Amino acid sequence: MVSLVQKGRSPLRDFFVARGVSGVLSLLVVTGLIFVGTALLPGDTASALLGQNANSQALETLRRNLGLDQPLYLRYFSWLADAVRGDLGTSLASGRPVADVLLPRLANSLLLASIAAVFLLPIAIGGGILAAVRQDSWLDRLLGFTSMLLLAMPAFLVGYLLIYVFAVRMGWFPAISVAPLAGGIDAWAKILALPVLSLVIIAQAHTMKLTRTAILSVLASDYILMAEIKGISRRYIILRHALPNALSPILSISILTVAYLIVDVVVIEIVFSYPGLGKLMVDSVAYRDLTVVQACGLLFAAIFIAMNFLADLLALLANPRRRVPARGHTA
Amino acid sequence: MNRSNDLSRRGFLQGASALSLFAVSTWPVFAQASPKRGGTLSIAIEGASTGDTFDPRTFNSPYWAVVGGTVFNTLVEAHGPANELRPGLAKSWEGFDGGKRWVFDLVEGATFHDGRPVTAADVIYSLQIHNADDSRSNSRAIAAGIAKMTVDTPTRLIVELTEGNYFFPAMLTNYPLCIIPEGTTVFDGIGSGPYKITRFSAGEALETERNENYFKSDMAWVDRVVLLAANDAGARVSAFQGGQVQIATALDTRTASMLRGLPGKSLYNIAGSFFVGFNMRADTAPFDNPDLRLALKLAINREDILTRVFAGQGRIGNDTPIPPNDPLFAADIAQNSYDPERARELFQQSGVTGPLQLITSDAVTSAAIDMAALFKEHAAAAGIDVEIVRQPADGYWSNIWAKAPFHATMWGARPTADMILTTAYSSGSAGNDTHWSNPDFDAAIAAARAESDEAARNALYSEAQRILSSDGGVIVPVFGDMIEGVSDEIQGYVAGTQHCANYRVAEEVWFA
Repeated sequence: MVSLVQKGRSPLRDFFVARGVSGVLSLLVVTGLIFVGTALLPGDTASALLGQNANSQALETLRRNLGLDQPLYLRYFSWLADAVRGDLGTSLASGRPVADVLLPRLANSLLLASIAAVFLLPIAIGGGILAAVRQDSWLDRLLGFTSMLLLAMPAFLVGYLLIYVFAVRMGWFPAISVAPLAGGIDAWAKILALPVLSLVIIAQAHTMKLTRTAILSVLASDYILMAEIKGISRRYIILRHALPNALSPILSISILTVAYLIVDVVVIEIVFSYPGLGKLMVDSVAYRDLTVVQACGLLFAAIFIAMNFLADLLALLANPRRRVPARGHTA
Repeated sequence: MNRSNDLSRRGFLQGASALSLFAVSTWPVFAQASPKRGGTLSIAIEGASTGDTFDPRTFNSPYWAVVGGTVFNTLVEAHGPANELRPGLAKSWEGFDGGKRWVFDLVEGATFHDGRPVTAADVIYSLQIHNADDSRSNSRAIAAGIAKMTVDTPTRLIVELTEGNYFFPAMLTNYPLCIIPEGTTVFDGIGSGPYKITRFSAGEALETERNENYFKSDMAWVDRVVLLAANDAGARVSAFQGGQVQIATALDTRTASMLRGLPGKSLYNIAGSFFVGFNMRADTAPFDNPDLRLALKLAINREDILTRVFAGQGRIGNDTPIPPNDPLFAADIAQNSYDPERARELFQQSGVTGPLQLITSDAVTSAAIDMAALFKEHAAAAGIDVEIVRQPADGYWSNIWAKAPFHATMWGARPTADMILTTAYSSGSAGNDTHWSNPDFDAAIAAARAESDEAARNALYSEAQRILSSDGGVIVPVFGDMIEGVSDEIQGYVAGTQHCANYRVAEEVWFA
């Protein structure tokens, strides 16, 4: 791509600068919002940890030990200063470094999301292409109907239904997806099967619809009509003319799908008690473990921003009209 | 309370297995008495969090109670539905000077998981840390009642209390008072218990393997024990039904009846392990009026609450924290029961008018919310207007509980009746959530604690319960049972007063 980056006005460099700055600003806003949001909740780490054992003396001692007696803005800026240096602090509830708590959970979430993506993308994109090519056929209608039906179901319901059928009735898979004692691949496959299946069911509709629309909009272009008038076979038109032009939106869709997956993972992790980042964040909110909540929020935001960035970058690279400085349309 | 080991568990089991030699072929039930080794026991328990550590001072949930009973030992252990005291790391104990001085003899040859012997110095350290300045232990009051501890010999310990208490050994069964090596500052889960840790992931799972050097050589039958953190009641039921776990704690009372018919699964009712009640602050108007307090106690239909909130799984309460299944329960005193006419009279006599605001919350379990809704109906029949305010669970225990004039409360059972009476209802106690103060009540329990004659002691506790029931600030309509699911392949399970066979199920059961 080096040859594409021309001296002077480079859309690629402009893109990197603009998106880099806006990404960092978004992250700052997110951390500020989480800090204020957690502070607005009734109770704090000390009262959550002590529960019914809370009395004013114990609360005061624990608050002082945890540094909760400092004003909120001071705590935020000292956290921010440490975070910039890569130090996410220590968990208020357990006293362990946040990174130690976070990283294994992040790995678990990424594992779940990426396995789900491996199954989801071919199914959803393939289905979308098929539906577009056979537009208005019974197959298109069936795919449209089932995907909307599954889209309309709340994520947790899908999870519980799968648990009921495959864990409770059939007993094929565990209901609680905690990493097994002897962590072989088959053991992992067993605990991941239901969460992955849930994610595929939840997220496929969105991706399939977007893919179908993207292909249809390409098929509606003048050059496809031209090709049809010339009498070129349908199959050849789609493979040679439509797909390459639809590649850029499909790439964006795929990457955004993965970003959405990471969000859906939160609900699914709770349903299956799967030890990932989402469950960690929810548990930490319950204990007002601000440093862990903050770090989780930061990670989720960073992943989402990075995915969006990547989607736009790939769209840019896949589209010759956009990566070269404007010279008018070449089509 | 002087205890010698006339009927130890070992003796009992040997006797039982000797019997089984004769009976095994004719009476299959007796086959249960011959335990065998092997298998992985998985238990789903609520109350774990990602912030959990092995610092015993932070043990404060059903999950950590079972970790305590699996990885650690206390000096004394409670067994069965009557909380019979059995030796833990102390093989025997004896009280002197009106229960003020206690001598504990430790088991000889007991070792920690890293091979170090368990000595009196370890015990002293393990108890002392609970009363350290930064301790947030739920057993701090117990440790604070110890005036002095001395090592007599490496296996003999002398404990002097600030005041006489014949229930001191029973109080030592509290799970945070587990014994860890002296000087432990990095809490890594080294204990003396039947299972040692192989993997721990906070808020996720604890995996253990059998401690081959366990000092109770005739216990701990399964090879591995896995404690799964399952805070969601639905997840516990699914895991139990699907066979992922053999034991699941705290199943939903109202759906439990649907599980009863499942093949290969048994449900146990654990009686009196907790109660949900309503607190009336006796130091605050209008509840400083004893007529109003009694009026409200007579304005609640206890049977209706038992049937509709707890699906009949529980026992009627008498506005004291002592459940009917407790040996110290006062059966001879008057039972408060639903009497709308009498309640109306007392309410009018109290001169109080206008609605009474009752605060409830999910923090006190969903039962508290249902109970309040029913109470409103019951009280309306007596002409008392109860207005229900529902508060979010967040911050309930620090902002509402023990502070609002009229609110829902919950207490888990304490190892002894004396402890809950003292903690929650004696004048000036930090846990006195009704702010009720009655000198006669205080005198009765103080005298009972130091009374060596059992009959006289029981009479004093009965009197204390009578005063609390008629004058106190708490309404305890029902003690709901806790429902525990146990798979039929598990043998040797004896339900206690707390979940998981008083936390120590891991060392007691075996696979059929």
